[in-house]
Amino acid sequence: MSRPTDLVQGTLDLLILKTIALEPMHGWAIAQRIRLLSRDVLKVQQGSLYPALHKLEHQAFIKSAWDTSDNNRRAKYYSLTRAGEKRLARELESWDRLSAAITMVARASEL
Amino acid sequence: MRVLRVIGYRLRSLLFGDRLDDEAREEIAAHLERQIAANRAMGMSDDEARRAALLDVGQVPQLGEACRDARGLAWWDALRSDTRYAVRQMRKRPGFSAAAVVTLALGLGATAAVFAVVDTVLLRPLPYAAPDRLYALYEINTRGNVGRTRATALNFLDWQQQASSFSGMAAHVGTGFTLTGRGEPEFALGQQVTPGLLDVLGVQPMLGRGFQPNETEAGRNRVVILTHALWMRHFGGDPSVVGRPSSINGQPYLVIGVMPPSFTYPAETYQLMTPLVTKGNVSDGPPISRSARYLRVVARLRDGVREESAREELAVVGKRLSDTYADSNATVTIGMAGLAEDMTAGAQKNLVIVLVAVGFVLLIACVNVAGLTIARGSARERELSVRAAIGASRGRLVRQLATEGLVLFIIGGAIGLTLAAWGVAALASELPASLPRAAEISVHWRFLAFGAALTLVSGLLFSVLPALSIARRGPASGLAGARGTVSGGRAVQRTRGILIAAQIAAAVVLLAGAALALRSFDRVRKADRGFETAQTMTFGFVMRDRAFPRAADMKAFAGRAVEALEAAPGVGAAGLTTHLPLADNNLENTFTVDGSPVEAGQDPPIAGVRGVSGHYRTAIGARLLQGRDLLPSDTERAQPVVVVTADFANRYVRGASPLGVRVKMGGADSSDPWRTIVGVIADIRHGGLDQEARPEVWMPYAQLPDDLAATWLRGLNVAARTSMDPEAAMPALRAAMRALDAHMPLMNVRTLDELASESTAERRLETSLLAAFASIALVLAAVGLFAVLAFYVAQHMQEFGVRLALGATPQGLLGLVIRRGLVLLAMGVALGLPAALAVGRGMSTLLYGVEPADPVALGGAVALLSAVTLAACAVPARRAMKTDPLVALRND
Repeated sequence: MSRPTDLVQGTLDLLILKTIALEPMHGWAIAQRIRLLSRDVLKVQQGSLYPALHKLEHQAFIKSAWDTSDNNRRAKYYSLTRAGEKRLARELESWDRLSAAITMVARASEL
Repeated sequence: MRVLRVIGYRLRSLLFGDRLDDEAREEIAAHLERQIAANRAMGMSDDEARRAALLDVGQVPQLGEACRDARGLAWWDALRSDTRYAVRQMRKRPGFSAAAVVTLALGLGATAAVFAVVDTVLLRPLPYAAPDRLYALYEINTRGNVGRTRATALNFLDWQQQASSFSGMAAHVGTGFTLTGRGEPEFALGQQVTPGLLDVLGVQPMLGRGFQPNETEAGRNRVVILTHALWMRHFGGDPSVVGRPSSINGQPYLVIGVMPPSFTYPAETYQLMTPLVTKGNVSDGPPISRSARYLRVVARLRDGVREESAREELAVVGKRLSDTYADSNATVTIGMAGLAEDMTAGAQKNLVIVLVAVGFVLLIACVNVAGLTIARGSARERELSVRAAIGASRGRLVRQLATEGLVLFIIGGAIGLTLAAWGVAALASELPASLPRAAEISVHWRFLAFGAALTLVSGLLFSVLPALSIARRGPASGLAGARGTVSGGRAVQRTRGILIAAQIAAAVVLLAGAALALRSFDRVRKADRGFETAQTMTFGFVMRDRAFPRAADMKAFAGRAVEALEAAPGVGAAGLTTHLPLADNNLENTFTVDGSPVEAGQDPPIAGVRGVSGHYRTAIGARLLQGRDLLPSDTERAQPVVVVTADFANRYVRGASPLGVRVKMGGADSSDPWRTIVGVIADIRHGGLDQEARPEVWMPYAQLPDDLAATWLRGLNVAARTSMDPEAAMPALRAAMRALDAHMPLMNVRTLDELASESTAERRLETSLLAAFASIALVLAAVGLFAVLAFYVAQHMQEFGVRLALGATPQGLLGLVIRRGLVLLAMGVALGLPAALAVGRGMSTLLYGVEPADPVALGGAVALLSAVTLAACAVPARRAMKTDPLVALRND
């Protein structure tokens, strides 16, 4: 429904998986981390983030648990499942291929 | 692992969707707070921080929805909301909903109930091992019109030995048994069977053992296997009776086994089995010969052998026997038929008729509800248009409307199935005993599965179609015109018109079918049966060879019995017969008529043989047409005499008067003495009230050939005409019999009226089912037509108002509406009549003395339908007539 038009289809999943691969994280922190790491280039809309999180959880690539955060507030922490780790590896691989291909095409058209 | 987790999530979403929604809301709220805090930390004011955060998050409820969609539950949510909406719609229009639910409950319930019967009798496999490998074998006599007969004992033994296509073959014949020694003497029907029967059927006794091969030898045959029902009833379910002797027919029989409760063969009425003696000879066994045809044969086809090759082998065996035993077997071939088919052949056609009829009822019910749904759809045009205008896709609207229809079907189906489950139990106890396997009828999982499938399939079909028809109209149609525009909904009107015509056609078929069945039933009841059933008590007794070793003893006892019975208080005429009409018991023989030789190529006279005594003719109210009755003076030593039925005299006796003509049993060279015809009586419908009478020869019981009396005719039936309620005379009749022989059980105690009623039980059941279905169809069709016309009138109030204002008369409007109804009626009748003719031809088994195209039945059906549907037209037509132009024009 509300897919990010500014992200290549499916890359949001990759970004989420990659981000929480380091440590369990709640939604807000995921969005912040993606923004920081991309130096403000990638802004994940909350309207896309949460549906994506719920979908990944229902595909059993990530799991969630409620916990108290740094400033003593309840938050839902997402972490990778085993299936999620494998999925991340596959996504990374295919992203490498895809981006390389896109780069080749993009450069070729410049000539 | 992942699969399990996914399933877990799915289940959680389905079951705890609300909690997950709450969690998602909480998660988003937490996010919002963090964002606000972060914004504030960057130096925004409180308001700015909040606004920016909200801007980023978007609408919280929509986000929640998106999360739900992400959980893959969109369809489920839609279904839930559609269902909730449908239930709300139902509540809003209780009249419409109740009508639809009742209609569907009737249609679905009736269909499911009939299915339960059809399923048990025709579809469910017989309760034996690999029942499709079981076949009934029989003899076919190609001479004249004899046709299919049972097998003779010697022929059976040859088949068993020679036909290698079968892994097992068994024969059996029904016999009566008297059980004594435990309380009241009890009479029970049983089977004498060859030892392999249980192996052929593939069943085992629950207690004890089956028969052993050497138990067919005379002297070793005093063993018995009980059915569960008899064991429970007569032996109190005592397991210790197995292995102990029990007194049967006055002889000690060793009880060797008890069958499980599920076992019945060949019908529930047979309650015990003893070995059929085929080696050596016992005086009370049936003759082991090639001429007495009394055995039913069941055989199991060997694995890997095809039916055709078995048939071919039987043809070869039959030919060999014809060649070897030309005397008896020259014209005898061997036939085979699947056992299930053989057992239910009689019931099949009539059950199919009933099933077709109930199918029509269901069709009418479904069409009715579809019609109602379309009408409701038109009334809700605006609502639907608005929904479409604000973005509901056409598919979404169809889905919602179909869900509404389906909810009606499911509620109707649930109610219908509940009623049917209850009705099936009631029906099972009412079913005539002649219906095969009736005792097995019960609420089975197949009934529930069928009912559920029927509900869903018919529900989907008759919900989606109207939904499509409603949603076909674009959003504009409902918004553009005011309510009740003249042009609006013409297509819908046409669809409904076709539905109503189809419904009326189906009702015509049902009514015509029911009318044919009713007229047939009436004909059967009024047919001249040759005797009077009123005020006549009947019962039977058997003279066992232990107590009555010689025919002379039996004849003496019969003489004493008549005297004692006639002396009983309240009894007028009483008499004995070897074969009571309608009691499913017959003996026919060939006869030779003196002076009327059989012409070449013609069959010899065949007639039922009856040994009668006392005032039997008067007791059953048979009419004497010529000559005199058989009298007590026609004793064994007197000149042999007979009374014949008119049919016998007309068919077989040439010459001016049959009186004085001599006949004898068997061929011209038979040892039977010449017997002089002294009287002629009216034809007797012995086989059933709807069976044509067959020729009969009555002879004095005392003059029956001794060997015949001592073998085949040990059972006698009493008929006693009473001056009071026949049941009330029974104690006196019992007392009279007990005074003669205290150990003789009386069986089949029934009035002749009951026999007559049993004889038509199946026909009556089928006729009343058809009549019930036809009545339902009539009401539903009338309601359907009423609804469509009422809707038409409501939609056209404005038009009527304009017409009235422009000078139309109220009568004109009345005519307009009635004409509409008449056109639909005419269309329906035009469609229905040819179908009714075809169905009438298909139900030939149920017709008696009535042609499928019987004008009274067809005309009556159409007339009744027309009257009722016109009455249904009258109300809306009157409403149209009373249109107030001012009110109608102000409307809107």
